[in-house]
Amino acid sequence: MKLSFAKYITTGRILVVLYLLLCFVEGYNIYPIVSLTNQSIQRYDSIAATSTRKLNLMNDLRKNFNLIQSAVFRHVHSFSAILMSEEERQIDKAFDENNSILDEYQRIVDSKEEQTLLNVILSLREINIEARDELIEFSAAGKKKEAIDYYASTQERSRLSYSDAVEDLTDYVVRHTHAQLAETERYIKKERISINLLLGLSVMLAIITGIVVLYANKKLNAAYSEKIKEYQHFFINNNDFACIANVQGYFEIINPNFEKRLGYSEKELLKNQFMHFIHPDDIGRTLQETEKLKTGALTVHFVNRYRKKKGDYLWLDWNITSNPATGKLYAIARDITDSKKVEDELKESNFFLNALLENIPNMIFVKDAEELRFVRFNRAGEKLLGYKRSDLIGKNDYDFFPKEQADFFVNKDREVIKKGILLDIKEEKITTASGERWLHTKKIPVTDINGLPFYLLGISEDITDRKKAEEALEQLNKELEKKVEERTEVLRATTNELLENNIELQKINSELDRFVYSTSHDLRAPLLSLEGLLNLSQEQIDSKHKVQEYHEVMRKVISQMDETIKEILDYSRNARMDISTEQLNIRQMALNIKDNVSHITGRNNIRFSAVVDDTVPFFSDKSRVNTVINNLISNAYKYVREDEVNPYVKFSFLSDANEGIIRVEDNGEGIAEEYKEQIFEMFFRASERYEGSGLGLYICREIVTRLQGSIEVHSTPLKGSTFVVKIPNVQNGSKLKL
Amino acid sequence: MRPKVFLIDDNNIVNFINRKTIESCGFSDNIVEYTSARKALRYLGEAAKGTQEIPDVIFLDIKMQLMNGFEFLDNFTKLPPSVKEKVKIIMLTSSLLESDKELAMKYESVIAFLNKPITRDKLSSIRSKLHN
Repeated sequence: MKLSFAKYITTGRILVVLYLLLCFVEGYNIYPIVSLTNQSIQRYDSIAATSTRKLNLMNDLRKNFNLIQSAVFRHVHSFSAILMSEEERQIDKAFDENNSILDEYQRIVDSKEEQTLLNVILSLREINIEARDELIEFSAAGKKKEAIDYYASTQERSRLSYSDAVEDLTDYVVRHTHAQLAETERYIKKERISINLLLGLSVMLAIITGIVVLYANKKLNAAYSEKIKEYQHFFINNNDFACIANVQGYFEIINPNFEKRLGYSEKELLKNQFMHFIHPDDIGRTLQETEKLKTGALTVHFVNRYRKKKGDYLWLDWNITSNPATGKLYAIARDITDSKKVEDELKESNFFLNALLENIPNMIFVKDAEELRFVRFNRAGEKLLGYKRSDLIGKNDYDFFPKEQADFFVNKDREVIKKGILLDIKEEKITTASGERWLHTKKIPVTDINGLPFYLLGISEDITDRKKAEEALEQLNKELEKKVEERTEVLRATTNELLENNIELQKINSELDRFVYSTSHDLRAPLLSLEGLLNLSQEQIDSKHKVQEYHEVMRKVISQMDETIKEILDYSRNARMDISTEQLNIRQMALNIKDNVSHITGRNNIRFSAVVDDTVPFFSDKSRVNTVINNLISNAYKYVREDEVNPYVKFSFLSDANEGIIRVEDNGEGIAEEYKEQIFEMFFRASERYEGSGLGLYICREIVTRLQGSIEVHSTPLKGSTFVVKIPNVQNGSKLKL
Repeated sequence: MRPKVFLIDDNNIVNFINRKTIESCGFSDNIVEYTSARKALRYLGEAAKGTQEIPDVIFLDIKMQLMNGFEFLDNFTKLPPSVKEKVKIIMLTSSLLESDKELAMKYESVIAFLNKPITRDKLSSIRSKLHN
């Protein structure tokens, strides 16, 4: 039995509707046919009546004609004036009658052929009227014979043709009427058949519909009883408790589960009010719920405990419907003892988890993934943010935090949800009711069964204290770094100094080597010369003149040697002695040197000039400046060009607040371009003439460097040289940095 | 036959002593002094062309300004054989460095390395060397 109850009802309804539809269609079709038949019958009647009328007219016509014939005959033959006028009157009357008959006929002619036939009669009537007038004329003129002859010749012929014409028309009418009637009859017959067919069809459909409805009804009944069986089966074999109880509080029908599960017999269960079996603690609730049914509720849903025969209880989840008309209760209960147990356990575990969550010292929050509203908060979170959970739930970040922060949080949230991965935010600032805090937050997407983000779980650790400690540490670190940097700077400076010292030392060392080599040479050379001169003096001791010559040379050698030693001393002094500053009298200094140099070199022909402008007092190291000027002037004297007739040495000095500028110009040998740098080197002589140790300009440069000044030379070979020395003016007690 | 002698030393006092010593012991009386090695070299270049007399012996100092003894020797070896083969060179120096002596003796024309001052004895040993 596949058809459901509802389907049967639907099928039946469809069939009835179909039947009614068919009836309507039939009626719609039959009505015009019936009216058509009525028309046909009316037509039939009218045809019959018209024909009868026409035949009657024909009859009258014939009768009148005969009357006219006989009247005319009598008229022709009587010749009596009275009689004749009587006859004429009769003839006219007959003619009049015929005229009206024909007029009437003319009106009811209904075919061309009939009209033609009528026209023949009409034309014959005209002839007859003419003939009558002719006859009446003859008669009136007394020409009886002619009248009789005329009558004999014309009347007989006209009578025949007239009656023939009438006969023809009559025939036609009879024939035509027959045909028309036969046709009408055919129509009527046909229509009758149609009506019969439709009626038959209708009857057939009624029968079929009846059969189908009956069949369906039968099936429906079968299905219904099947359903009832199923209901019973369902009721009995249902895994749940199913029962019907009455308003008195007794079970009326119970399914076997009551016996099976509770352990009572059916009799026991039906005998007692069901309250009898309910756990004392649940009676109140059960009454309360069932009471609702009395006050109009249709269904109630509650849970209570039923005592088993053994004494323990089953948890039953009730679903009760009442029938307000009878007050009966239809109840289904499910044994939820196991799930209740599970539920209790779940509750317990939930409670446990909740307790865990609540006691975690970190803020735990859960937001819904859709709108990022808070759905969960723990105690630490409340404490941290300074809001009650009830204020937080359902709100979002924008309700609590400055927009900037909320934007940050929401962006991070969206990122977590989008990527579906844990996000570790090492540091984030949050404004709470109790001020700004730093959090270390981890955000985790919580997905539903389909793996779609459902919630966002956040765990935040308050790292403000740590952060502060870190900041303090960082501050400390910075300070330390700063200190270290300062120390490093000092160290670097020291190192640099050391390095410089080292370089200086290396320089000194290599210079010392060269110095020792050169000085030993330069000091030995005069000694060896002296030895050679002594040898010569000894050999030629007899020649007083020669010995004197050798002595002279020896003196020169000794003086050279002395000069060299002095220069070595100058060098040493510059290197070792501290700078002492005092105001210098440059003019005096230059003049003294000039006197001394000119005396030693014996060159008195050199024109010396000194232009000194020390309006701005010049402060520097006396000894060193003296050495520099001495060396420059002494060089100018030494390297005089022998062929120069007008040799000169021009000394000038100019001081300002910053520096003093010494210029020594000569028109002596000059210095070749290639040696201009080398002349300031140790033991370098740009001349092949042996006039000194080669230390002079070297010492000059050393001193100038020491005084932080500069020395430069402009020179053209065989024209002369100009040395320019610039030395800082250290007036106002400012000191040179060493 | 007295040899023609060139004295090359930038200190004219040394040249004076050398001349006097060479003259007094009769080594030579044909002596030319140069305080510039470059000038001496220039002369030798001219002499190679045959216009000037080529010296037999040159007394050469090492430590000199602008062109020292070794620089002179380097340039000397570039002179034509007519000069190179005739001239014998005697180093006369105050240098006590063995390295200087070794370097000097590598030059073919150098026949002796003497320390200043020049003496009668030193000159006689040179004379015997020249004769050999």
